[in-house]
Amino acid sequence: MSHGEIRERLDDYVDGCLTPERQAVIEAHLADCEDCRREVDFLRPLLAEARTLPPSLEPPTDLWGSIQQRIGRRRVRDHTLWSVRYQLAAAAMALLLLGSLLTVLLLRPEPVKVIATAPAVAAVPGFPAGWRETEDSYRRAAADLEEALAGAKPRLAPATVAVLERNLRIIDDAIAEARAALAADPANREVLEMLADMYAKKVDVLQQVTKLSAVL
Amino acid sequence: MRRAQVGDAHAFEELYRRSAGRVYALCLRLTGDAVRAEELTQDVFVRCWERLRSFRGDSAFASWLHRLAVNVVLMAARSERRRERRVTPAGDPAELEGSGHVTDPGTRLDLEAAIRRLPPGAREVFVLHDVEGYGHAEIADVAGIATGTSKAQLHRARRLLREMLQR
Amino acid sequence: MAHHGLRLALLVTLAPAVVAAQQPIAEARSADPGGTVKISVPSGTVRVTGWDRDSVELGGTIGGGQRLEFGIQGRETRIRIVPVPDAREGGASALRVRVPRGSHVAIRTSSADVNVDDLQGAVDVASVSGSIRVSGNARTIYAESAAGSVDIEAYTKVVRAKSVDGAVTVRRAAGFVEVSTVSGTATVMGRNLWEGQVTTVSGDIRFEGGFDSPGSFRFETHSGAIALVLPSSVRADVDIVAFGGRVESDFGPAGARAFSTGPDGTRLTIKSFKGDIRIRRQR
Repeated sequence: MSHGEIRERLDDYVDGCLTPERQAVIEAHLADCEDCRREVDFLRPLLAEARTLPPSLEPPTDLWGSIQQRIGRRRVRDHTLWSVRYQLAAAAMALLLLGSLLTVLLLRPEPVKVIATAPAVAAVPGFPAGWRETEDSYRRAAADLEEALAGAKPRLAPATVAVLERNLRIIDDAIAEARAALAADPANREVLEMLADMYAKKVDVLQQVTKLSAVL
Repeated sequence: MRRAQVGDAHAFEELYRRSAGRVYALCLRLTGDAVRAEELTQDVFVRCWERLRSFRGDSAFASWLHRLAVNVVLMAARSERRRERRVTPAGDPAELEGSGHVTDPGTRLDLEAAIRRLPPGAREVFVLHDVEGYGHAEIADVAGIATGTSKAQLHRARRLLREMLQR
Repeated sequence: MAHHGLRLALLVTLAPAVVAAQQPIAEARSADPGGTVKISVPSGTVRVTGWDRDSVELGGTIGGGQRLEFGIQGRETRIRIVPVPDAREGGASALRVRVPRGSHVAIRTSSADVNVDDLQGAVDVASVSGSIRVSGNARTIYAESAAGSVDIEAYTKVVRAKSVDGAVTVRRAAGFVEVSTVSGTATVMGRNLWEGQVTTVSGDIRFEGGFDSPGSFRFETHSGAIALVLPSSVRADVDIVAFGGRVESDFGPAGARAFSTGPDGTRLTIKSFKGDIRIRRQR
């Protein structure tokens, strides 16, 4: 085997999954090749270290309260009951909740059903089941972040605020367009995904800006 | 365990207390994101509660929960990768203000920090293979990728770690 | 934690050099060659360059009403420009910092432009409205600015670059790349890319490069145009999603939205709500 071929197999060599013949070939090569020896000398302690990383790390917050609520069949958590340590952490959690809901919605195995007559969604007829919950959670996430950002605005230059507002409008316009397309074609999962992406983008941008402006 | 299986929330809390650290460590290493790891840890225990009745006791509970956690994290990662994926924020104030996670070379914290910086696909395979001891065939199975992809990602992860750890 | 806070407090009281009006600075301290350097500058410019010495050297000027904190604790060097208490206005600083080439460098600015060159460690830059430029061969690069542009030209295997309003450009990428902006243009050029995504809302997406299979790459925009230039020999499973815009491709059967150009290829997802999509062969 050439040096290049042997290098390709050094992973298998240190993992001990080569035939004895191959192993012998590589060992012979290692005796002569400084470069490959150094690679193996790096990999062995790395793997030993990786295997002895602590198997358990305590979560920084006690998650039991939130889990208890969720297994108590309360799918969407009450806003005020969140363990809000920091405004940013809360906003980040809101974004993640949005992510989980979208995941549920998009990974749902059966075709997305159309709600015909639910009175609460009368304003958005033709949207997929579960969409209202998702959209509500997005709005709360965005509202949380907008509040956090409002607190940071006095520290931002007016030009920066104008730029951010313009970009948020661009995202809102994109959301409106994708939303209209989904209303016209509620079974279209590709549109649903793109709309979800735009929502995620808006929350992500708000989160990014809030974080950046909190640094200094 | 039996009590938790029949829906005793107190018993389930006991299970949570005993195994939260293990699940959180796995979620944290697989995602490289502390906030995401907290959310996924919750998801794992909610899923665990829903499925607990189906746990037969013919395997150890710890390894059953471990496999469940891997599935929850990888499923979420796969779905996120198809959609918008958040860029890990570099502007995290804690990163600048805190003690920092880069400490003496050769310490565990250093390796943990380097793992966090790996690209998602390579990180998942490295954590499962080199930290958790999964084989490539198993990884291919749970991650929904080809065995060759798992090997390629492991190779990439190890090369990147070598560069990052500068050894 | 309390212990740590105490040590930091001590560090700050020992280290600060108070500067009145716009003043030149020149200071140097020895530093760990593989340590962390954290730099925080509100406005002006900061230029960080790697060198072969085991020390951190500071030069340039500090804006009026600001003072410098420069301290080393263990393997961590901290450089901060902070307002003097009761100062009326914070002036712009122009900071030049030389750091050991292998350092992990973290930079935070409000409006200050950032320029980083010749580092081999990890680079993290975050700014509210400053522009960011990174060149060299840093191990990993994370760069984000809300209103400023981000420009990276580095042979680096892990790059994450992000803006809201600004253009984001990554050249010489290799490995993993994530690029995101809302209205700026996103440009990525590279080789041997194995995983990544380029997303905008209204900004155009331009990509020219090749892949190291297996892997996956995603391009997504709402209304920007997507222009990809791929090598003739590219092996990819292409999936195109488009609603309003035109789709033109030199690869695959005419009009096909899902096709493969070879076995075991990179998964390419290309999505645009209403922008045009063009996939061209590299010449």
